[in-house]
Amino acid sequence: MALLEVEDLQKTYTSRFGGQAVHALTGVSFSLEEGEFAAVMGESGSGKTTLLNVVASLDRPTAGRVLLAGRDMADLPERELAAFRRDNLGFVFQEFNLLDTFNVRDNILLPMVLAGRSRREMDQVLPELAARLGIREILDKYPYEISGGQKQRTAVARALILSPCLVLADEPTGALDSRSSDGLLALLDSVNAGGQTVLMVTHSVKAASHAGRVLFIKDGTLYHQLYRGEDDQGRFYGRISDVLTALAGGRSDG
Amino acid sequence: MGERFYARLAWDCLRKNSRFYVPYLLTVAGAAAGFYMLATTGDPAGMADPGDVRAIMRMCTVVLALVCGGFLLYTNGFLMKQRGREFGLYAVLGLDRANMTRLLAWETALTAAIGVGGGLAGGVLLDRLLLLTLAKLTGRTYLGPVIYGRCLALTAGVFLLILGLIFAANVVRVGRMRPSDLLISGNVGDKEPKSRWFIALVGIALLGTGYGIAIGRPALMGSVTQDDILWFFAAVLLVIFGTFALFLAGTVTGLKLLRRWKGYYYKARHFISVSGLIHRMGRNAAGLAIICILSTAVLVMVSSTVCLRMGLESHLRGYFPRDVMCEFGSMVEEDWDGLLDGALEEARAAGYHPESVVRYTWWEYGWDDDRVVNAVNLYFLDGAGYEDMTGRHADLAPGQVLTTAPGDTLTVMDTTFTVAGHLDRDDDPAAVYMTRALGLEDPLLQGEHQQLVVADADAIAALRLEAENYRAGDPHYSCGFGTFVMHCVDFDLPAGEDTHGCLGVIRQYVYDNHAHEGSFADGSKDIGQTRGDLLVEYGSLLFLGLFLGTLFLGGAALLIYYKQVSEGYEDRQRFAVMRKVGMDEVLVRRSVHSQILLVFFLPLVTAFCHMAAAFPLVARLLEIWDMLDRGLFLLCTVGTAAAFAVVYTAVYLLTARVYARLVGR
Repeated sequence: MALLEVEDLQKTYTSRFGGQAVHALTGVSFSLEEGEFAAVMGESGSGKTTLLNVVASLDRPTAGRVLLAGRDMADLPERELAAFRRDNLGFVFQEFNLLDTFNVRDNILLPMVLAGRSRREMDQVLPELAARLGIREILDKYPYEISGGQKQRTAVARALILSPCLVLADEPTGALDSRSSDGLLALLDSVNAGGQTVLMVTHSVKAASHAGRVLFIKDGTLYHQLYRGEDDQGRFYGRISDVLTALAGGRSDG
Repeated sequence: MGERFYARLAWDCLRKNSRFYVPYLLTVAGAAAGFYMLATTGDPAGMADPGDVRAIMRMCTVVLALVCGGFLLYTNGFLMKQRGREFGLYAVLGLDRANMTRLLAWETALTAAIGVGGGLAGGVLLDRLLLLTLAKLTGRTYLGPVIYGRCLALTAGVFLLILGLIFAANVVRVGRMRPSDLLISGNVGDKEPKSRWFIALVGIALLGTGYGIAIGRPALMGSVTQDDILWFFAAVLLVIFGTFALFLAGTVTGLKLLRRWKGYYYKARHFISVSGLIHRMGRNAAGLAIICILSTAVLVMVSSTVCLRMGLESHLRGYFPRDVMCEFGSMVEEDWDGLLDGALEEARAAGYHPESVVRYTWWEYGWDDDRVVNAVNLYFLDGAGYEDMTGRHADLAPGQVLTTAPGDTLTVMDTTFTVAGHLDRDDDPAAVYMTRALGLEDPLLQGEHQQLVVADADAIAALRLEAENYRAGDPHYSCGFGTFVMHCVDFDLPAGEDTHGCLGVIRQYVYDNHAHEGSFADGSKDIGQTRGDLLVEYGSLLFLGLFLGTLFLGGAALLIYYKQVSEGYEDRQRFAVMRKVGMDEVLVRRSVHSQILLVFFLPLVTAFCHMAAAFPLVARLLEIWDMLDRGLFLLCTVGTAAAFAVVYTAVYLLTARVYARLVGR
């Protein structure tokens, strides 16, 4: 069974005064197997962020459903959603979203503390994870004291600390320079190589070329998808670019 | 670029920041209105009979100007911090320092026009009401102009000066910042506050000393003197500085200790609250300390002045067993019975209705013999007076007395009396009456050293003659005695009859008909006149307490509002992140509540502590105004605290809604 199943997902935003409805998603279906690394691409306004928010249960779908490990998130009452999200999903945001009131250690531990885990468990998990991500030296520093790349690694550590079954990344390289981006993508590769399922939304062809599969969203529907197969990263990069060109061209052709 | 451009830009700036500027302008206006109104109460053109009131009010005007200046400077600093990014943007867009100065100048001009102008207009409108309130509280009629030109000019001058200073501070502030700093200010990059043990310890020491003075000093005090007022202000200053130090350093240090206690810190509720509070305290400590000090000032001022005013009537009654107390004496023998009878007749003829009439004669004798150690004051009352006061016949044989003093005999100079009966100083109606009539209630004069002696009127006259020559020139012996034997008639008047007018009639009669030989004494008093005098004093104090209390409370409320709004903006993003990471709404709400609650009720609780510590010393200082009723003061203190807590909570709840709207989803 697939880890994540998205079935005919629709999302319509209606303005508060019943004005014009915006169809952000008009029927998206796909599934993600355990251990996959998938990227979602599309232009601004194509609905990819909406897709991520609905998958993350931050937003409720208008129609269709999302099954994570066989459970329909729509069945969960609001008060259980937070716990569900905490235990099963890890988030990496474009703006890192570290809390400036916590140092790096406490930022990473936040989900664990919220989940009510014991201190012994924290002491077991954190050093190993920090070592793996190369941020052991900065655990006592505050977000304003570290670089963008280090911030993003901290954010990844926070996403991984509870060993979620799915990591969601929203433009994770968007706020990074190219060297830091390379470092982060290598990190996601290695995380994925360790068996972690990753779903990433991105603008960047380079970021997408690290994935095993790329889903293209256009006007609220799944327009196309590419599997990397046996291609090396360079070739896959080329294929993604071609699809994007076609995607952009498709619009000008009408 | 023309001036019109800057004027427009400045106007837009104020409008865009209306969430902060509207309260700021209201503060300027409120402060100006308050200042103007207070100034009018001290203006010579105002009250018909100014008395002490004017001087007190003038002094308070100066204090208020300083407080307003400090407060506006502080709120402005707060405002500018919020606008850092905006000024950064202007710098990036190419406004140089000169341009920025012009912009700030226009903003200041607009603030002055709206704030000070509005304040003066409001002040003029409300002034009449305020002065009528003052007149009502002090029991006088108010006659005065509608607009006080001098006060308007003074207020405008003071506030333009304050705004000018603020303008200068802002120019320096903006000039010192670099565009890159400006762009990020108000957002992130907020350093974690350091724990400062030294300052925390200094704060505890200052506060401890202040509390020590307030609590320990009253025990060392004799009667209240000027020194004690100085001690009080020393304690106030110590507590103010101590509060600042403790809020600035103590809270952060304490919270950091909590954070180091891992078993406590790594729990979901404490984790968010403690880390949030450390940051909040770092930047809000000064504001919280100001809220705390303003609150304490309100509490102490209102409770003590309300207490004085509420105690007025019983205090007055303490000295007036009857409404009108006529008291005369002269050096030569006179028919006082006849004189006073005639005087009473005259009063009746003038339309007054004296009732519960008490007639008596009294004389005071005291001596101090350094071989006997103790000084003793004896108050002699004649037997007829005793009968009037108690309804019992004194039944004294020659050489006999009734007294509160112990022993079977009583020796005064060379005369020894037999004690025919002992009087209970607390229960005997005559003892109680005389204590009140002679104003002996001062606790420092009470006890063994004051005794009442009931004796025959002739014996009293003889003692007075004896006293004049007794042991003159003996270096070990000194005595003091009443020059006159005083003849009194006390009575009540039915409600509505003018006590002072009645006393006037009686005085006139006695003045016209006494012997006019030797010297003459008049110790008469009436409750109406005294009440009027006290009302002016206590009423003015109450007025000041309420007026300044309201003003300070407004200031505290404004600070609370600013804090809620600015923290709402800061926390909005923080809680959004935490929700995504898996924090549920219940925990969000609980965490928000526990933080905000602590932050806002810490100053209140501290203010209550200060108030409790100040209680003993303030209670003693109230003795200056003859307020001796501790129970009443305690009641006023508790009542004021309760009322204040209600208002404070209401302000908190109202502003908390703004906060909830900002952090809510």
